[in-house]
Amino acid sequence: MRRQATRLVAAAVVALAVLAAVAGTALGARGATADNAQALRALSLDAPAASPVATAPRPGFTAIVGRVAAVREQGLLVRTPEGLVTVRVLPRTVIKRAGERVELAALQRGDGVLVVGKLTERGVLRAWGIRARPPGAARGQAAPSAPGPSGGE
Amino acid sequence: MSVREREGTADSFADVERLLTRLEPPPVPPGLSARVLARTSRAQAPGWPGRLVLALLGGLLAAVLAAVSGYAAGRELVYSGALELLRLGLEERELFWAAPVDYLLALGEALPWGWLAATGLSVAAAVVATRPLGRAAGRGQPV
Repeated sequence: MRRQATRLVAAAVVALAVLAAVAGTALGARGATADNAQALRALSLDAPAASPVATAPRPGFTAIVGRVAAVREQGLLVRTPEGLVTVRVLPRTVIKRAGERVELAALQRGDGVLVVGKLTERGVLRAWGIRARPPGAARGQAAPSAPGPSGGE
Repeated sequence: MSVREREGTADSFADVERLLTRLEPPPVPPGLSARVLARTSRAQAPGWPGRLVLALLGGLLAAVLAAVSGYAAGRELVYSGALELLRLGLEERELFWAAPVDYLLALGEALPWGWLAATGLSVAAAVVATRPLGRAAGRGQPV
């Protein structure tokens, strides 16, 4: 009986550690997503003109969140809390707006966007994916699920 | 002491020696080794509760570390874009199949390896810390 109880306690502690790791990860991701959504809500295109990113994230794979300031032929200009970021759209780039797969031209000024991609040395973000949400859309409808105030932290 | 007395003493010593050489070692009682080992184990018993408490505390500390490092890993998964890249890859399979190697490289670059490793090591530490509990149960040590 004691043996079983001891084994049970050992298994419970290990299970607790696994559960803590999983729950911690989920809570961290949820918290970061909420922080980013709040930053996105606070972001306005009507504020004084932003300069090119002042505190640019370091080159490499990263994520940015912001609002579409302009749609161009080859990409976007996205306003983030840190400044403007040029986003280059590639043939393989997946663009989703309100949950639907769309072309670049479907994006509109003011859309909230989460862009993941590789930031070059020149500060251009070569996008792998863009998730957009029309301004005023209910949360979860277009879901930039992880819009972040900055990328690559 | 007179000469006779000295000779008498020497003779008695010799007699004792002769008697001793005739002695045979007594037979070992059955189960003696097991009884000695059992008593030795019981003598160590007082140390075990302390070790078990330490093992338990170590496991719980590792669980707390796993939670903290997991939390940091979760935040970094969002900020680095790894989570979104994974979601896009699952939703749009062509993103992966168009260039699997590139996709995996990008994912490898985006994942917060440091925090993920810290989380994994914390869980492993919990397993290692609680091993004495399992061993005690296996050997039937008193708890």
